[in-house]
Amino acid sequence: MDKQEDLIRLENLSVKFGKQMVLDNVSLGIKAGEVVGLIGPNGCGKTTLLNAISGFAPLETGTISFAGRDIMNLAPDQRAVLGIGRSFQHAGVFKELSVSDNIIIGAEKAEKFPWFWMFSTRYREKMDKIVNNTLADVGLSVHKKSLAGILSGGQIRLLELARLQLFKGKLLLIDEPTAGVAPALRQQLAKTIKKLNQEYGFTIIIVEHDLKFLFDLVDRAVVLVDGRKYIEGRPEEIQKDARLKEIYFGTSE
Amino acid sequence: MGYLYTQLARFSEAAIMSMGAHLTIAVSGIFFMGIPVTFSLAAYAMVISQNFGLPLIAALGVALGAVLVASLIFVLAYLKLSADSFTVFTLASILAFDAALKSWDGLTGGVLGIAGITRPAFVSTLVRLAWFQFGLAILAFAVEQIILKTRLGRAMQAMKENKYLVESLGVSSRRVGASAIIISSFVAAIAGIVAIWRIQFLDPSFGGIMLLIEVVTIAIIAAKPKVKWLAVATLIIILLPEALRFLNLPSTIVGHLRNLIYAFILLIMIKNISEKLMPQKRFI
Repeated sequence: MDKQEDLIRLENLSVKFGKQMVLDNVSLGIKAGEVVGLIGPNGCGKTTLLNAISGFAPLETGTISFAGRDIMNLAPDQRAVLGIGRSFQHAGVFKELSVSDNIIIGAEKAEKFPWFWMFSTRYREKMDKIVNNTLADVGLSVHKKSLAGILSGGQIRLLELARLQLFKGKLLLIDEPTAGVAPALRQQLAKTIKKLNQEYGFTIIIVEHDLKFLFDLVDRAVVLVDGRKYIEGRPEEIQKDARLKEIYFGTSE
Repeated sequence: MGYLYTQLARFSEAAIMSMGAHLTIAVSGIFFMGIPVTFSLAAYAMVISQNFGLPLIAALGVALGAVLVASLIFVLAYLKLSADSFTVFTLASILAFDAALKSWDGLTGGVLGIAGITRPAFVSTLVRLAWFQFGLAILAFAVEQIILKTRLGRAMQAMKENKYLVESLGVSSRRVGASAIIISSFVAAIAGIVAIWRIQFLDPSFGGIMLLIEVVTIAIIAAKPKVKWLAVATLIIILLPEALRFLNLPSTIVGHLRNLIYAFILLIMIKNISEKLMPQKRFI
């Protein structure tokens, strides 16, 4: 892989919690526009890897560069400003804020409005338009004024992804998008994630246990086992691996 | 009428002071307990400056300058310490400040305090002062209402729920928390200044643990980030003990009974709203 073209480059990344090595010497390069899936058994370090990239997990060793820049000394909010967006495995929305406020809090940061704008009619009209368009896009317009806490698991995921559409960045880290989502909504989630990549141009790293859902989305998959990179490749190559079959299906047949 | 104006003034002082506690505790989820320190510090700084011959405006400047320094120390502690340690630090600051006031008696009057504090001419009577304080309380409510509708207010509310998620959107939780602490310190300072104009006597008990109990109780009862909740909570906490005055109980019992009422209200409220109030475990 040509290191010059990588949007994000992880070199020999290790993360330790207490005495336990959660990530062990992981190196990975991801090119702009790629959709990369992270898979592996529970506790293998997938979410920790996303936390390390977004700045929430301190590194034991290793380096991370993003768009050719060393981001090791940047706080999570500074990494987000630089263009690394994030969705979380749990609580990806603010349940005590209204659905529209959940969109506004993402939009006003992304749009970089001067602070005094918030008192102007022009600002309110612009925000209204952004909120209406974004919610219509994911079919949540009817819940605009409701507290986000009343939404179902799937609707919360859609709201979270809708907010990510407004994120002005280059890389999205999406953690288990189908967790707690009814099968009926998974197709819509997949469509929204594809749209984030194809229409909005985001490079995406996605952690997911539902392999069918994941393999339909990604260009490449990376398998982590016990904190180490076990294998990486195109979905059709990965699926042939005997150990992966054993991990996920209990058989290598 | 004097009694009613005194109650109006007490309500206003508590409302101004609690607006800060409301912003930090109920809105942002930061358990900042240093409010009695800035409340008392501003009053002492102003009164001492006036005793040194400074005019009112300059004395107010000194008071706000002292509060700025104190609030920056609290911000530094907020940035460097864990949430629990920060709360303990701010609690300890009340005791440390109390000890300093009692020890430095050449300047502060020690436990005997400073008597004979005069009111400025524009609030020379209790009636004028009460209405002035009420105006400030309304202004404090309006300021909080505006803050809650702004980017900062939304970030404060969001931070209480999930700090990591806020940071992932590019918002600095450190800046938001620091803003809440600074605003809180300054409104408490304003409350301290106007309260001393009413009481006209200053001693170390002016901003102690009892004041903290009152302020935190109001912030806890007004757990929602709504100004009307803050107003109702302030009204309950100020007027409830007053009802006990008409029961012909010995004054020693009234004091304890008031604390019991506070404790009882706290227990009920915490039982009912603990999930909203208490910092939740975060999973990322």
